[in-house]
Amino acid sequence: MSLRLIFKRYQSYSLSKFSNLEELKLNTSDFKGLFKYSTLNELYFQRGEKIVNELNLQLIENKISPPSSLNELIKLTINKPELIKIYNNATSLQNLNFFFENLKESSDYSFPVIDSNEILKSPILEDLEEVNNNFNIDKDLKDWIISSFGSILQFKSLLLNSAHSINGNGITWLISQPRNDESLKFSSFSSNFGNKDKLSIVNTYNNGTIDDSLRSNQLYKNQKQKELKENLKLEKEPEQQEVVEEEFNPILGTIEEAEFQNLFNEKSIIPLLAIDASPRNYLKDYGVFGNQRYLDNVWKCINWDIVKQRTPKKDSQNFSFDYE
Amino acid sequence: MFKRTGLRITKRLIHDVPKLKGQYKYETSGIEGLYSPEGFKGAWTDYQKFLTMNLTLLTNGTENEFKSPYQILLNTAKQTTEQHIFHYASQAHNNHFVFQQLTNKSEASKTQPSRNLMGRINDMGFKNLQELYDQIVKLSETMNGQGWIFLVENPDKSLKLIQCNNDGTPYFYGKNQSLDLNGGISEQTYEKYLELKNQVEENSRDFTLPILGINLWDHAYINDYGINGREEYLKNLWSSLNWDVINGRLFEL
Repeated sequence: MSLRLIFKRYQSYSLSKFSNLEELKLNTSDFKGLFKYSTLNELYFQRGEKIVNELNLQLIENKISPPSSLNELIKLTINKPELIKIYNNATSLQNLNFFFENLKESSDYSFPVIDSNEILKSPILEDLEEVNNNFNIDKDLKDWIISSFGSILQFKSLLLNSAHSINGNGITWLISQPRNDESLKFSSFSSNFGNKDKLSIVNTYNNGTIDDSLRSNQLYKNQKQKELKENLKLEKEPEQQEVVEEEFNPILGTIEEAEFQNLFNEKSIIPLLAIDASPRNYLKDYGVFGNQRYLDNVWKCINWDIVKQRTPKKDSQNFSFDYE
Repeated sequence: MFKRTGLRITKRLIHDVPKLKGQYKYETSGIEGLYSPEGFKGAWTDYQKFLTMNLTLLTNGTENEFKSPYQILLNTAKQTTEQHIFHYASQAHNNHFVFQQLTNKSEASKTQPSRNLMGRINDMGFKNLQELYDQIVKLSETMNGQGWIFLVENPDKSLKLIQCNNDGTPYFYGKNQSLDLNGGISEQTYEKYLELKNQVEENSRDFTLPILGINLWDHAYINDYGINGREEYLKNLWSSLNWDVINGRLFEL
């Protein structure tokens, strides 16, 4: 696939309009249980608008008629160093949409001032049964989570601790990962639950992507592109052409080669849930010491119906839960 | 550089928020032209407390207990299992470094780069301070996440600007963290990567010392400038720099 660089009617992207958020905006009311209104406005509407504007502007500047889906745009631009700004904005927009889509309001939260004592607080030991019983979601999904992580409590701890471990900008994802691909054949986990897709938790940082098949090869491609450019230059000035002796290491290749050979193309990873752990999400309402409190609230605000909708259809139908 | 509070009775050391020159004034009326009292509290009092408290908890009873954040960051930079400690030490040091060079706008306007410093800035290819500022803004726009920008002095006394993603430190090029390889990789990043690779292959020694630091973490501006206010913050930060402090960081012949 290649980007069509022919001048066509430019398609532009817009910020997803979620009915629940639009209603909050209309009434300038808080996102109950998670954000004050002013924060929601800055986080979603203002930041979103800024990203959308920059993205559309860059598409026009680069004379690109983009595909209708943001995901396609991300796939097309990640390996094009000259279109890095488009990639960055497209990813930011996609992540923003994805995160806010899987949120719903929960019980009210009053945003108390959280001070430094929060660091010294002992963690609350949660009851395995209680967490399990309070987790009222679709049965298939729940069983799938338990078969992947052991228990709901283990899943919750891993999810929130992964998010808490992010110091800069980043997102913690719940992903569905196919088991029957090459890379998992040799993994010790592969035999536990047959060939069913497995749920995993991963972190991405800044504008990272969960899909390694997109991310891989970049250094190699950059190298090739550079060589191509240099070759073009050399062709123009043939008298300067020299044979460049390449260093040859018979045991270890270069990082670029390793990257190229380590293909992830067989994997198709499906994101189910995103938790944005970047400081901008909690600093305003929860303060410097409020990261953990924010994440605890996010847990209560996850819209599991949306997560269920995102699960691959085929697998959820075929899914059977063997627990021993 | 950091003041530590010694408790004689228990013979333990606790990392605490160092007192800034003019701290009391900043707490009550903020840094004129840059921070409101709340903004100052979030960026300095609270954040530094958060960093030093975590540092204390992590270094308690270890060899790092009696060291300053600067020593700890150098000590842990190369230790792959101590990166969580490095984070707090590096952040605490960087944040202190940046706050030391800030002052009220009216006082800042009375200061200017020394002839020595200005000459070196000119040697970098910037005709005036505005051009240096423009370059810093340009660099900040290429940073997708949190981070720092430092003007550093090379061993040959020339200056250069470096980007440090997240908790990167300007003292050791192995932990500058100037490459962001998370998403798409730009040509610029690839060039930097090649440069770094060369440095490693040649076993080159990279002793840089920071002269000027810019904090691009959300903590530094979110209270006063909002989530999308980085540009505005940078503008105000630039006019609140106390060049007397920055001049003093260069060795004068």
